[in-house]
Amino acid sequence: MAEFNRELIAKVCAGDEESFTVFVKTYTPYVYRTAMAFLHDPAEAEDVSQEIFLKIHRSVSQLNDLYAFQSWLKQIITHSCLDHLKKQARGKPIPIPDLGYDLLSQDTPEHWEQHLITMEALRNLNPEYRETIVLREWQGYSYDEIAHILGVPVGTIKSRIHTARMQLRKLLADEAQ
Amino acid sequence: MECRECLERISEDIDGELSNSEHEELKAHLLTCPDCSAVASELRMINKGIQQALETIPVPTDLDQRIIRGFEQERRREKKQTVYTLLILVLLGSPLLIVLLGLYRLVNLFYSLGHAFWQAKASLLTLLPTTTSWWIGITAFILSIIGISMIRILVRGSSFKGVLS
Repeated sequence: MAEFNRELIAKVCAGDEESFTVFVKTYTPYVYRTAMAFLHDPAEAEDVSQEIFLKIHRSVSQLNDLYAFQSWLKQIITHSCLDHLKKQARGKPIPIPDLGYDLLSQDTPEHWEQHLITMEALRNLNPEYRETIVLREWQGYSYDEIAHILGVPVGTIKSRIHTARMQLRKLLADEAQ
Repeated sequence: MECRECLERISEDIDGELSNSEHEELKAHLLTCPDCSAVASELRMINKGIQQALETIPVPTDLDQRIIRGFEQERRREKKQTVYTLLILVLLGSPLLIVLLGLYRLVNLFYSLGHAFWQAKASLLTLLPTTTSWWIGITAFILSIIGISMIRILVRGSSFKGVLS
């Protein structure tokens, strides 16, 4: 996540439109990557990113404590992505991802290939395991927080994270062979 | 600690969810067990790999611009909506305002007429002798009774005798 800029956030909370533009530019990569981590679909991730910034714009003025901004933002992003995942699960099937890694990427081809393999392994995880591992690895939530967000016992989260890692290990090992 | 238990706890250890004593116990086992130690380092590598893979997801170059443009469109739409809402309120409110003004004028007219009659009656009563005033009062009372009875006949459609009884 982008570094916390108190001055910028204060201006955004006060309704300064120019500061909000700067805020969008600063936080778009994090928001989009989080959406991609959950949804694995660039088009959906773009829609959710737009939706997230719209939610932030509508409700940021109600934020009383500036220092709670990071966790508040993380919460909005997480809930928007999880809601979208639920809709996705109800409706259309999980798309075949076009993750957008290409040769123009700044990384070396070996690296992007490895990233692509990792993302593919992540996508092949059971959706419940995937969302749990993303909440832990990317969002940095504790087991208790994840249990609260997903509404399941902490024991289930421990088990899901462990199983997810073991499955990823197997998937990556299969890919390496 | 056995390998099975160690493997179950490696994830919790990676995430810093173990207590100090549990962590020390696990660490001691990992130092003596190369297999579990290999799994632990592998899982740590996978974690690092996931974070790196997510951090390097390419963001569409103009996404922020599109989001900002979306906001501008949203703002324009909101402004338009505000103008339309005001226009509709004015259009709906104008006839209501006219009706209310008419009603006010009517009520005012009734009030003025009533006041004028009251003034005329008071002036007449003060000018006339007391006995005449009494007669006028009694006549007015009788006429009121007759008037009320007539209205009841009209409303009920019953006979004059029936109304009086």
